[in-house]
Amino acid sequence: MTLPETPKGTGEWLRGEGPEVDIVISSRVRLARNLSGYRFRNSCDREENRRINDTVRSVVISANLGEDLIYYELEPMNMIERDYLVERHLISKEHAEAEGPRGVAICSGEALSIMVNEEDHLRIQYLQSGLKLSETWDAINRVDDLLSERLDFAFSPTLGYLTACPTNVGTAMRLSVMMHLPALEWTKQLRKVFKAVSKMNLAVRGLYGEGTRASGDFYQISNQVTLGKSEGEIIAIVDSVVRQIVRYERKVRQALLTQNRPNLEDRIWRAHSMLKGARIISSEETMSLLSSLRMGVNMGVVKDISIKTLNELFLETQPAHLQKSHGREISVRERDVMRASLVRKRLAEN
Amino acid sequence: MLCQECKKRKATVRVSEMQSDGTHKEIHLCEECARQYGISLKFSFNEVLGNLISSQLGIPVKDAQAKCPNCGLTFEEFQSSGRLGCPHDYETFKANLIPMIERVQSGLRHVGKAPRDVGRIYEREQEVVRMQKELDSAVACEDYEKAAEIRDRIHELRKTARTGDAGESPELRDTEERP
Ligand SMILES: [Zn+2]
Ligand SMILES: [Zn+2]
Repeated sequence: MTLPETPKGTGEWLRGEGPEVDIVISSRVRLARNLSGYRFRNSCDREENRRINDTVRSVVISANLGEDLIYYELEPMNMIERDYLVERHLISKEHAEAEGPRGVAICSGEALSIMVNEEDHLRIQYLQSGLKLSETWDAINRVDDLLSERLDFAFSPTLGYLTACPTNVGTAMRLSVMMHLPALEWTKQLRKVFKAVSKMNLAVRGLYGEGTRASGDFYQISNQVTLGKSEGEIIAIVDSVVRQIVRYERKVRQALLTQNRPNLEDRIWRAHSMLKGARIISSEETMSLLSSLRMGVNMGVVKDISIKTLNELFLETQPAHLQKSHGREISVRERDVMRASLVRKRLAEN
Repeated sequence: MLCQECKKRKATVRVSEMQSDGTHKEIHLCEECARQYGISLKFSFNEVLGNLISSQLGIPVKDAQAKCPNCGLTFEEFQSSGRLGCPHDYETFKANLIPMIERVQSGLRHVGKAPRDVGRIYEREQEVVRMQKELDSAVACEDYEKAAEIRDRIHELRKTARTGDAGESPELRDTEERP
C-alpha cells in the first residue's frame, strides 16, 4: 500500500488565504464519535477493531462526503508514510504509532479527514486556512449529520457524546487555531499571553499537538471545556481570545517597526541569507528561520518571496516529506544536506 | 531537582509524555521553560484524570475495585490509563467520574448537538450491555456453544441498527487498493 505521488504544494489549510492569515495559519474543528453498542478502542480485541474499521470505512466511502475521498489503511503503511500524514496534519502521532486495524479517510483537498480507531472510533477533523471557526464548524457539522444517518453514535441525554477520555465528553469538540506569533515570542510577551489564555480555560500547545514543543513560533490555541457549553458558545470564546492575540501580535509588530527597525530587519534579512546560503540545515533551524522570514514577508520587509512558497517549504522540509519525495529512508545527516538544497532551490525560483 | 531544559532553575512542573510503546516518559521542567514550550493546562488536565485524580482533586475514590460488567475495566485501571473501556463506564463509575468531570468542565449537562433518535440508540446500548454480561458468564462457565450464540445475537443486534456490520465483503477489499 502506497500513498499517491507526493502532491505538489500543500493541503487546503496551508493555502495562505483567509481572514487574519498573516497570523492565523489555520482553524481546525475536531469531533470525537464512538459507535454505540461497541466498546471503546482500547478495550477491543483485534477482531472487534477490524469490525469497527470495516464498518466505518464502508459508511464513510458511501456517505457522499466528497468526490476525492480516499480511505487509507494505516496498518500496511511504513513509518515514513504514516509520518508524512502526521506532518500534513491528517492523522495524529498517536494514530500513526498505534497498532491494529485502523485507517483514515481524506477528502476535500485534505480539508476533511476522518481518523478511524484512534483513541475514539472516529475522529472527524476539518481544517481550513485562516481564522474561520464558524465556517469550519458548519462544514464538519454537515459531515457529522451525514455520518449520523448511517451510524449510531454513543450518546447520553445528559452527558452528550460519550468518549474514551472523559475530558472530551459532551460536544466532544476540540477547536484548534494555529497561530504564528514571532513578535510576541521575540519580545518575551508570550508568557503573559499564555497566562491569560489559561485563565479562559483554553490550552496552548506546539505545532503538532499534545505533548509537543512549539517550533518556529507556531502555537495552537484550543478549548478545554466540552461539557456544559454548546458548540456555538465554545466557538465564540475561542474566536474572541484568538482575535485578541492577533491584535496583540500586530501591535508588537508595529512597535518593532517604529522603535526597533534595525534589529527587526537584521533578524529577517539574516534568516533570508542563511536560508539562501546554508548547505546543511536541521529541521528546527529551518522552522525558526522560515518563521522570521514569514514575519518579514507579512510585514512588507521582504518582497520577493510569497507566503505560499514559505508555507510549502514548512511542509516540504519536514523529515517524512523529504524522505517520501526521495522514495527512501534517509539518514539525518543526509537529510540536512537535502533540506538545505531544497530550500535554496525553492527560494531562488521565486 | 534542576530543570532538564535550562539546567538552571528548580524543576517544578512534571510533564508526562506517552511514548509509542505505551510507556510514559517524564520530563521535569521549571515553570519558565514549561511555558516557553507551550505546556499549559492540557498536561495538568490529563494528569488530573490519570493517576493523580484523588490526590490532586482531593476527591476520595469510592470502590476502586468496581468492575464494568460490559468491558471488565476497573476504576483503578482507568486511574492509571486515563481511558475508559466502554460507553457504559460512565454509568458504572458514575460516583467517581461525575465529581471529576464537574471539576474540569463547565457543568454536568450537555447543551450541544444531539443525534436524532437518541432514545432508540440508548435502548439498544442497554441491550448490548445486558447480553455482554450473559456472554461473559457463559465464557466463565466454559459454555462456548452458548457464548457463540450470544455473540451472534450481539452482532445481529448491531446489524439491525443503521450501524451495519460490514463484515468481509469483496467490494470493501477493493477500496483498500484505491490509488
Ligand atoms: Zn528551565
Ligand atoms: Zn465498560
